Amino acid sequence: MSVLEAIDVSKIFSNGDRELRALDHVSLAVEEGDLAAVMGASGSGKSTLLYILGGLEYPSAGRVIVNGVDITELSEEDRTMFRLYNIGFVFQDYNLVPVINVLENIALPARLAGRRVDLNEIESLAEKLGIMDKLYAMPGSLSGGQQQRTAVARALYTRPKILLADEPTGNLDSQTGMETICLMKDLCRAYGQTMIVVTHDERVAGMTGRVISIADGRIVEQDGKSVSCG
Amino acid sequence: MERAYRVDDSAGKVLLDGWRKADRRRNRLLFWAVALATVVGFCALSMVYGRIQAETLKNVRADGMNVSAWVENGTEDTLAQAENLPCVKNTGLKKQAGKLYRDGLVYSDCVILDEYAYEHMLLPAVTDVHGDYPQETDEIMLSTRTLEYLGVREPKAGMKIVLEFYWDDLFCMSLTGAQEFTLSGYFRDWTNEQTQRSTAYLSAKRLSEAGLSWFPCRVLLETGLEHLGGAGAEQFLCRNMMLEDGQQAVALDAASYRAVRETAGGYRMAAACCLLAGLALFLSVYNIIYISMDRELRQYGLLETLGMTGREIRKLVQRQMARIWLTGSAAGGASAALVTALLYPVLLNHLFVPLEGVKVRSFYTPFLAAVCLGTGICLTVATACSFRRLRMLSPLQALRYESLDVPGGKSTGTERRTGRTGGRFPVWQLAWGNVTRSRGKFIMTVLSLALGCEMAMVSAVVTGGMDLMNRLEQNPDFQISVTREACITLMEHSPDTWKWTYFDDAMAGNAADIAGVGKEAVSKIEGFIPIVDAEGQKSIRILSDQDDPLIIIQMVRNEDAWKLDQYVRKTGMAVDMETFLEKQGTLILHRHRMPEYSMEAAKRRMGEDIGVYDLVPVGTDMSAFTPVHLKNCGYLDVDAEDFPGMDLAWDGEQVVCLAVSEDTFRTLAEDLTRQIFQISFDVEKASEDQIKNSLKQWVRAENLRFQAGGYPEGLNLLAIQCNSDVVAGERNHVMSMRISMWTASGAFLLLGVMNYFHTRLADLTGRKRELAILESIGMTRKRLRRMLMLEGAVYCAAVLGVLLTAGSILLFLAGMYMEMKVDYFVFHYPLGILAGMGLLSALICMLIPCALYRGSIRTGAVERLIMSRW
Repeated sequence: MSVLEAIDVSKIFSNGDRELRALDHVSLAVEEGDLAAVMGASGSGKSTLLYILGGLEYPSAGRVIVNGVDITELSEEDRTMFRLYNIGFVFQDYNLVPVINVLENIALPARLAGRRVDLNEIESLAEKLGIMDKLYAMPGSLSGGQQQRTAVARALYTRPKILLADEPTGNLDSQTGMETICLMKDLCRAYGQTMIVVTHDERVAGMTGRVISIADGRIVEQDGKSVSCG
Repeated sequence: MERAYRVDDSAGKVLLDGWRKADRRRNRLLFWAVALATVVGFCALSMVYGRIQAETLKNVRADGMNVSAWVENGTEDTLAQAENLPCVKNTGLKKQAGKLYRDGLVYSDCVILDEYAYEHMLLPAVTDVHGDYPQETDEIMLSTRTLEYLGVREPKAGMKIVLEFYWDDLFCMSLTGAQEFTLSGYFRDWTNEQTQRSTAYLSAKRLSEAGLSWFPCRVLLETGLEHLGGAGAEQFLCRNMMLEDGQQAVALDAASYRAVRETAGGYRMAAACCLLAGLALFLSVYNIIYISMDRELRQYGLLETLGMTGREIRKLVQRQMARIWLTGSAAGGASAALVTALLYPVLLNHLFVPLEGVKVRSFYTPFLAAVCLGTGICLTVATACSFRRLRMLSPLQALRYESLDVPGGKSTGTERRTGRTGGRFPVWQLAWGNVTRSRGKFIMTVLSLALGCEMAMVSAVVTGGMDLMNRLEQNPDFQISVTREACITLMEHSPDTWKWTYFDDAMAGNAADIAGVGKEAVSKIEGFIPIVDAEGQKSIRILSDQDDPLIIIQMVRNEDAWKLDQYVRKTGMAVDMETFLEKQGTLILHRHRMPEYSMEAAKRRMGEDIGVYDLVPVGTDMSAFTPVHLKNCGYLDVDAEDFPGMDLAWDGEQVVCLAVSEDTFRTLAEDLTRQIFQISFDVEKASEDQIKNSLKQWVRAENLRFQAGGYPEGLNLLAIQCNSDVVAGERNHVMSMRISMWTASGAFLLLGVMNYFHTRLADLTGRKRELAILESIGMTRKRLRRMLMLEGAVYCAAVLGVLLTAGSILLFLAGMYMEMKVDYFVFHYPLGILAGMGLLSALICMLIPCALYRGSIRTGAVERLIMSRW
């Protein structure tokens, strides 16, 4: 069963009289529990695809169905709420809220959703991600890897159905990057989540069960075989 | 270190706590901006308001009553109508009852007031009140001026005093003649002694005992129409009241209206100044929010990405701003209250109204509320502006927001090819690039400082132009005039007025000799005192005759006639200027004595003859004389707005003046006896004091000589006004006007400077990382400082540019407006102040950023680079 489906999605950015077609009639489906990588050169449209799948960008044409809901038909506010309950994001440059500590950053989506924060669960997640001793530190005092783990913990804590990661290892050294992606993979498997990672690192892509290659806004290659975590 | 963790806290609370701790600098800046805006706004408003209040008080006292609108000959029906008008807050009654006489001469009017009129209309206009308003038939309340005239130097409430009283109603003989009164009270009045007769107050009981009724009487109206001016309020009353023939709705420019005009040139100018001040206050808050917006927007974008809706973010930010507003307003309000409570009363009460027992109020709670509300609105609007930007961005765009809005226009690429990259001046190139890369930020920063400077300059131009000294300096050094009382007394009582001149050429020559000026340097107001024939009287009686006016003919100098001609053309009045200028015509000048019901009759009287005779002794048979005829050319109200300033005998008070041209005057002089009403002249400044003493002695001697001819001791023939005495009397007032307006100027300049300071501080805070990068790649601190100084120089040049162009236009427009509104306004372009502003701007623009930078480089570039990420 497809948990996420893009149907004939196009995205055109316009700047005055200039137009840039970032996505060109892209269609794809991701099954529940899939672990997929989207690969492509810079400017190929992979990040745009990820953001459209996550409801952060609005497609110029086409539909995106997440968990049975056509998110292109939702209002801005509703899409935000939908994102809160269904999708977790991990960005290349971490994007932690600088004014609150690590623990609060992790708990923030749960608090936004009005859920009671389970400190034990956060500590358990932090333990797994190796940031247990940094829970009360401010983001500014963490290394890049620690910040990215915090971002991962934040994305995973509310147990969203889908985890979208945009170059999560892009700002990390090779070893830290691999450690982080392994952790993400393991946790997704443990929580039964679907994960799509945008990367240009073939080793990262190699760790996923499915690779979708994209060039000039079109999917040029996909093995068509879903690989379930585990 | 682990801290207490509250699992139930909302995301909003967690974020607010986080922002409060992390955004200390920005929040502190906003706090100071709000507090400063509150202090400056409230202090400036209080100062201007205090001054308006003091001016109003002064005007009320000069008017003699705190009322500017009334209906003449009002009846019970008029009173009922007035009470039903929504614009009329309260009403009072003033009955012109009779007069006090001494040796056959009137020296005081007697009026009766109802309770409201006494307490709310008379008492605010008088001081040193002792005793109470008369209640019994034989009680009277007198002014100290009247008591002094009667020789009572130490009055006491309850003392007995014999006075000669007669009702205005000639048929009422009850309670008239010389009788003993009880002085129920006395007061000091501040009306002009030379133009207004003093007033005594009687009891309503006396009126009823004499069998007289309250009505008809003057129905005094306390209206909410002051802002319309006299003409506007009068029109309103005329439109909304059904007045009978003989009744007249009169509204003069209210004391408060004149006070606003004298302070700021009028309500419109005051509103424009308030608008500019509001803009300055708004900018002071907006700039900080605008400049720190990049980081804020990125955070809002991130929160939206994480699933927080725009509405939730907005609520959160509003809560944050509300907290800043509350604390800032509280701190600002407390400081402002301290300043106004401690400093202003001293300034206002000691400088503005030095003689009064009344305290001018300077702390006015609604102003504090208004200013706080204003800063709240500024914060809300500024926040809304930043949210408008957020709404235009997707969460991702907001997350990656950088306001590098480079100057507009398409890049042709030639800049790079031609090498216009700064070349030998890389520091300059960097500075220029920094200043111009964010057009919005640059404009806001320049505008905020320029606005502060402009406000200060407008304030200076208005203060300088409105300076009372400008008006006083236009006055001649000395004015000697015949008193109106002497004139009337002689007309009514002199056994022989054949060819009588009150103030002849020989006397004028004597005065000129004493002053050491030639006869040609003496300016005269000349005319005749005529007896008007029955036909001519019809033209005069059209005017309301409340105060039994004296009729005179006055020559209008050619330059004044030209001004009148211009005025008539401009207003399109139905006045026959051609006959006035070229034939034997006369314009009937009056002080607002034309009731609406007489307008048509007045038009019909135009072109009719007014026959005038020379003054003859009372009882002379006039049938043997042939009158000289003047053509009635129309009526002009000298109190009308825009009426040209011209010298009138006794300032036109209680006088109907038949104005004639110079040619007509010469023709009339063949048959009528020429009179000099007033002479005036300037003298050498060095000998002014000595001349003053000599002239005063001479006037005193002339008056004694006149009184020796059988006239009462208090009746003077001549009165002298020395401009230096007037100037000395107004010195405190002038000083207070200057201080108040300079305080307001200084406050706005301070606001502009602080605004610039805050803006640059917020800007440099945001550029910490950039400065650390520049330092890390080899730019020395000295060069960085130079870069910041050059940036300041660009800001300074831009501020000066704005001041010289748009600022100058604004100044000229303000000057033109003020010249239209205030006849003595003198526009001076504030070149010196502009130079001072330039110097100040240069210092502020160049030194503040360097000082701020110096304060921020206590740590190394790398450390700052790392820390600046957060």
